[in-house]
Amino acid sequence: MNKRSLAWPFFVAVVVLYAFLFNHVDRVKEQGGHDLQPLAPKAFYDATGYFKQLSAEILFIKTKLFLGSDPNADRRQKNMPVLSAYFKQVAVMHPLLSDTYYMAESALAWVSPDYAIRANEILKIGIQSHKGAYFLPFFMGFNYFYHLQEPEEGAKWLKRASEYEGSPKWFAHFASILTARGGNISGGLVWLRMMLSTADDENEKQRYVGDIAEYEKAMLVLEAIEDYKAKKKRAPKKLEDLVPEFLEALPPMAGHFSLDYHQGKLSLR
Amino acid sequence: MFNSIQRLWPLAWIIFLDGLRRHAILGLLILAFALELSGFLFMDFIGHDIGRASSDFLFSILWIVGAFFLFFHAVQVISWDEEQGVIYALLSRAISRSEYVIGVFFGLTLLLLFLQLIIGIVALISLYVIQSQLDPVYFPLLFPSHFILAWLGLFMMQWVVLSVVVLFSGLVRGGFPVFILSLSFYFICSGLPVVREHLLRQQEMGIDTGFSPQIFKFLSALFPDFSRLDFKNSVVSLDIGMDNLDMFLNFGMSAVYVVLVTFLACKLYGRRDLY
Repeated sequence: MNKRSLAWPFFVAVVVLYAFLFNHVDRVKEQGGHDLQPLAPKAFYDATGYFKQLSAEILFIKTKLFLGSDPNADRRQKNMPVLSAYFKQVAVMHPLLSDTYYMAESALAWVSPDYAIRANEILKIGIQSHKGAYFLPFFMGFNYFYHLQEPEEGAKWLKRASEYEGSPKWFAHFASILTARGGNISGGLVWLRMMLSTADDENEKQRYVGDIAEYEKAMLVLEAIEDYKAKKKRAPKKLEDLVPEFLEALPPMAGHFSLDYHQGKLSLR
Repeated sequence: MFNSIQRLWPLAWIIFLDGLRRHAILGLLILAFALELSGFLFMDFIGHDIGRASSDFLFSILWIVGAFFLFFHAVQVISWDEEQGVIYALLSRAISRSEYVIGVFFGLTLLLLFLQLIIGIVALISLYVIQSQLDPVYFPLLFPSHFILAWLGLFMMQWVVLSVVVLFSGLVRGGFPVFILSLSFYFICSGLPVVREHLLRQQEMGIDTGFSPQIFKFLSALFPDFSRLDFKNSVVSLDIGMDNLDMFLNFGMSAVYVVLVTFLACKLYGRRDLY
């Protein structure tokens, strides 16, 4: 057998070997799952020049590919810090790309309060650059209210969102409810009255009238608490202590409202 | 002056036709169209801000293709003339070295303009096609005037790099050294603003930075900050992100830079030994 007759069989054997090895390596890689690679040093991304926006979009796509691979809970938890860093880097490099904030909100805020704070840091970058994008302060307000249990802070951001052109009318309504929930019932009442004065829709007006009535009942209780404090030099231990000296009876709350009294602070839930 | 233009215009035209003959433009156009087609796959990953991502992608293609032209074709033009002996024939026909350099520069400018015009028009049409296929919420705004501004900004950036390529071509022999020097110039221009910003932050924190800010400010005059000509974001936005005076100053400064560098290139080439 001469060398020439061996050449092609040898080539075919090498191709088969390569195909076998490739198949094996690729399968191992797929089973191993994909972890997000740590980001390069910040200066690298700062120096991308004209490709800054495209580089940001490529980083964003990497986060989407990671989340889209439906990682299990352990792998997701392991990659959370890197994922959060990716979103922040994308927002810094390309603050006008809206997708970053939608994705950061859905991927980070629901993990834990700490990640809700990180999501808010990313949203703040967008708010500084994206004039008029009402969904950004809305997300911030929601995070403060729902994930961080800070309804008053949430109300501030929702109020800001309601001032953006084109924002849904119920933002302001929601903000007033959160204001009261945070303990600032009088602030919420003022706001509701303002919204009633500017409302056009009859159904909307009726809703505001109903809510105002409940807020006014809460205000009566609040005034009674202030009177109690002025006379007894301390806050009442419970709302029932106000009856009958400072209040004839605790007002029955209608609809979805209820009075919540905790450590001397009255709020409307 | 009119006689000078009459002498250097045929040279510029030769450089332009030679570029077409070498398929430099054809190859880059095919690359650009292939990349633009791949953009439709890229867009699948963007869920919301498709207009912005499309615009960024298309302008990045314009920049990549222009960069390929500058770093793989333009850097070699003068060295080809020297290696093939064409330079001696040209200079023997009562064309001065300065006119030769300016002629080459304008020829390459014509090629770059031709390339960027074709790809730019296709990019604008692509944006309109993408916009027509999407719900307005995903691609609400597209301003052709802002597109033209962004295109002009990009062309001006590349024109600045081209003038530096011609300068380096007159300074050193061979295409490869010119390529390395030109690429280094571009990377310095991209990295210098980052260093300056870092120094500024240090100053704000009260850290003594010595004379570094002044040195880097001087260096920024030599290595211009291209981000001042980057109007990509304005293509799908209401405003251009800069007031009109600043915009005109940036363009004006870049044009003056090109004139200065080309003048320097002419002087340097006039003193160089061609043998």
